[in-house]
Amino acid sequence: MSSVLHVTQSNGRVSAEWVRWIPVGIGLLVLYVPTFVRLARTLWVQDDYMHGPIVLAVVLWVIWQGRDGLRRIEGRSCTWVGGAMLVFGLLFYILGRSQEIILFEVGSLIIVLSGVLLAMSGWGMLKHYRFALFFILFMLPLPGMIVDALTGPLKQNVSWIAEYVLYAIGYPIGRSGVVLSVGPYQLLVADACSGLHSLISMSAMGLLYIYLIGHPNVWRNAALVTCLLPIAFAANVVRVMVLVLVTYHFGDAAGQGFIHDFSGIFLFIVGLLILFAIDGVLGRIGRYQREPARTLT
Amino acid sequence: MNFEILKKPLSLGLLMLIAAGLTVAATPTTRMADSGRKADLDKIIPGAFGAWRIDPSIVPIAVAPDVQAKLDKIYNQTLARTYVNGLGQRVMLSIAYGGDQSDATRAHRPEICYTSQGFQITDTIRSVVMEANERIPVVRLVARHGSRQEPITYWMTVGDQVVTSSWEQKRVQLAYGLTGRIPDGMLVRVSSIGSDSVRSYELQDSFIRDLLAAISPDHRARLVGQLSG
Repeated sequence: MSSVLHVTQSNGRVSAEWVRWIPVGIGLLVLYVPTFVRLARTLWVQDDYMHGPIVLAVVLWVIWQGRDGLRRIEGRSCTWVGGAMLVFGLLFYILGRSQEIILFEVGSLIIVLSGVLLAMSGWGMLKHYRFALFFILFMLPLPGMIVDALTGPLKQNVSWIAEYVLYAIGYPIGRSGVVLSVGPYQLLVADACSGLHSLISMSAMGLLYIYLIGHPNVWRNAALVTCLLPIAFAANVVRVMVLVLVTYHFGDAAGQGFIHDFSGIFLFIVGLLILFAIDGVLGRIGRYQREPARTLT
Repeated sequence: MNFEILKKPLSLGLLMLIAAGLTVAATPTTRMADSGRKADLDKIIPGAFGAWRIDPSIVPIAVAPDVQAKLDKIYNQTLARTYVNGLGQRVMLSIAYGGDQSDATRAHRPEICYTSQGFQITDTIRSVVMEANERIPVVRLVARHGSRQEPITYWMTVGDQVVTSSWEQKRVQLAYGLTGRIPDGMLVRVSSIGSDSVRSYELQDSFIRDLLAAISPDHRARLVGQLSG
């Protein structure tokens, strides 16, 4: 059973349905403004997590864009489920913030927001905002164990692919573990070159693109999503190869200089452009399949 | 104005404010460092012990000035010395003590500290140093910068426990935090320059053994915690 509450006032006064969000809004601000302030001072200053503020801005923007739906109230039964979810989320918040576990403190936002949406507006709004809630995941720090587990294998793979390709096109390159020897130079594929965090940030931006472009076709979207990680990985391999080549042709100083940082951003952009290109190709295939008669004449 | 519709949001908002209050209550405030645990590193660590003497001509890798300014805020004390033995072998000892462990202070680990100075880090493994009847868990890694190769052995303490990973560090900090205490912490780093990592680690281990044998049991506990042996 659902009841829809519409109270519209056209004389400029704040209508009742927005007022009911004020107490909730204040609660959320009291809890999470300190959270993001602390995040800005600690996690977001690290290179690996520079996409954090962007993710937050995107989440806030998406919520603002969909705000019209927040007027509606659907179903009374959601109040208790939503309330329970809110309490559950708050427990994570309390534990996370008092004991400085960023993962819990920031992760609690997803559960708390879900609970609030459920209680205030029902399952419909939860579904409406599912991308924003999911996207919050990209603000979370990677647990140390996962970083430790993935960095080694990623470095190994990046190293041998770089060596294989560069050797195949004729460069005097050899490899011992994660140390690449090219000409007179020895280059170490360090932890930072594993590309682990760029996998995350590129996936985040790729997902954002897919969401914004909003293709109705499930297969097209699925295809794009599956491309994200391979593109990000390939971009990182290319980055390592570029740095090897720069060092080989221009010397050690050039390879360690600004090219090092610049190449990261450059490859990030290239990765996204490849995603757009793939999307374009998928679009053409789709058109071709839908209208074969026209293209054959 | 229909106040009925405000009942629900007010309850939800109230829950959140209560959570904020509980958070403040649950945040640990008692600093272990304040209860007489602060150790004067300069006094605890002898200038000469066993075959080792301070070599004043070399100072271990110093942190960049801007990082040092940050560290000065975090760590209450640091000690950096190079020791040399009768055979001319040199070992660098670096200890940092802080009254407060928190996510922000993890930047002092060699993996972060050395890389920020242009070093590359490899060959990270967890190991143990056998000392008297005890096993001290340590992290071993190799830092490289150009032709300089520096095998490093280090460990951290959180309160009275030795930890060798971020996960352990957090777990022990949590254990203290749930009892309302903020644990202090120390990071002990021993390194030497050498291309043969195995020999370097052996040298560092014997240095560690000599050092721990030369300090009093109370002070020893500060460096390696209360090991269960």
